[in-house]
Amino acid sequence: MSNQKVNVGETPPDFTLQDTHGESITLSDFKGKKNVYLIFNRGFT
Amino acid sequence: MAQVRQDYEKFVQRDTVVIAIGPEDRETFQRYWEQQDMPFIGLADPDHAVAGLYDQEVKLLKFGRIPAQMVVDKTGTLKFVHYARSMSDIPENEKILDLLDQLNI
Repeated sequence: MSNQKVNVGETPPDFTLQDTHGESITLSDFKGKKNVYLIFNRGFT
Repeated sequence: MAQVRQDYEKFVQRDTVVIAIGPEDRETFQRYWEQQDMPFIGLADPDHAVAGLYDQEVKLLKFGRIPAQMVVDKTGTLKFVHYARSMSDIPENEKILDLLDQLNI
């Protein structure tokens, strides 16, 4: 697992993407407010 | 994702936002989200921009991406990182919910 970019204890890379309602979601916006469970999906199609 | 939907309320009760990121385009994502009535946030990442940041493995000749799951706490720190070894290698909700309980103490 030494080649993985993201590790426990680190700050995750921030990102902004549009959700299914067209709203921009930025990961760091949840800091200080919520825990985040991030699921990287394999794809559903 | 169906597994997480089942327990979605338990995540909400633990002050947790669930975000799913997938390789489809936004239209496909939107359609699927409506059809399945998904209660959590769905983010289309067709250019693999975010998947790349997190080094999610993309197997182009197989079924898309290998799944990965992560938990970020309220201080913005990663508390759990799981890169699946196969398509079905997905952590049990119980494991994640237990961790969230610990984070909320």
